[in-house]
Amino acid sequence: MELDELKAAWQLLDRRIERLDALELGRQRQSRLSGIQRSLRWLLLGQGLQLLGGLALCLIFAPYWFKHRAEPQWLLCGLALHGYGVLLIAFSVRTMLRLRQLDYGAPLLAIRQRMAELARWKLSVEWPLFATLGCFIWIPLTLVLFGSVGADFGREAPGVVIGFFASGFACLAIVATGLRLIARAGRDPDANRWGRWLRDSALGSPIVSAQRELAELEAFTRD
Amino acid sequence: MKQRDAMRRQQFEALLHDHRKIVFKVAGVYARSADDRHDLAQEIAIQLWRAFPSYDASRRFSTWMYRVALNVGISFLRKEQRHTAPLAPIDAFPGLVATPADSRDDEDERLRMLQAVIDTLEPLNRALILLLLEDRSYAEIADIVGISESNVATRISRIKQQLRARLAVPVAAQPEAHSTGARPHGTR
Repeated sequence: MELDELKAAWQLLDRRIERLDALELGRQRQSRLSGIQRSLRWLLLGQGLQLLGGLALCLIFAPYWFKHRAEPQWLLCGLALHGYGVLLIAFSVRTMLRLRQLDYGAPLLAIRQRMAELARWKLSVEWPLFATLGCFIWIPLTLVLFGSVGADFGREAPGVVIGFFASGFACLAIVATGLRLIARAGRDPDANRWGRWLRDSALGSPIVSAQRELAELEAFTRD
Repeated sequence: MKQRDAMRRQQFEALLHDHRKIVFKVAGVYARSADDRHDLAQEIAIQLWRAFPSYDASRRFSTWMYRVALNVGISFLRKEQRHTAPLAPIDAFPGLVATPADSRDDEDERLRMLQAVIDTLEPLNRALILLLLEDRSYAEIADIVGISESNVATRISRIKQQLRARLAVPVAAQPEAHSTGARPHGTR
């Protein structure tokens, strides 16, 4: 073995290292993607529960408003809660379909784009909508619950209902502040700790950890 | 402060990732088994991270990385040579080459020969041959290993002579300098 032969053998070693490296990267990718799938299974479970909640609202309040269609106060409460149930179902079905469409064999960039689209939808549509509705949806629910035991706040204590709506609007102001913080965190995540925390909470830990795993995997496999 | 640390860490991880083959090669040249290779690669990564604050970004990262990694490799081998039984078997480039029992492949055979040649060299000369095989100039080798360029030239010339003398007979038939602890002539 002369020096030239040693060099040739060294280049061979170089190629072997590259092959081993590629195999290792493949193994890492597989293991990380399995972790992401596991995280997203929790999201799927959450969406399943949301779907059941929506179905329960529909099953309870569709007959309810139909029965009270001659009484505007109860009709409106029933319709609001039925509508809320429909929204819960529609949003959970959409998210579940998106999750099912995720192809873990696709290039990382494609998976990241899908996840980013899901996160964008959650932050710009789902979270603002449900946070806003959440400020008020408890009012018809409370009225219906008290109504079922004979307490008609609308008639007997309208001040209480006004108070309910006032607190709903106060809650809306807090939601608006939260939305502004989230928007700021989107522009500069490092400077807005609270916004980032709110953003992560709004997205939910399965999406946050899946996005983090994807970013790490991309950094790990980039060449 | 935290942000700066995070950025520094990210920068280090990216650089280490881009130059990871250096770690594999140094570990391959200085480790005696697959487990050792793994331990040595980890040790190199740890020492690189510890030394990272001393890295001057205006200079080539690979040069600095070789310097740290080879120092770790040299220390590792010296420690191993002190603690390991002299006749302990050595795996040729563990994890990269099939064992002789598993393979009669010509490529594997060439890599086993390369490992056998490298194993005849003492730790510092392994660093020199590794850098020479990586097509580094004598000036760069001198910079990495921390000896003068003329010293590098002299040592490499001796290594070549030594290899020619050794390679005149088949490697398998040679006395195993690495396993007997004997040092080749003309090396430190």
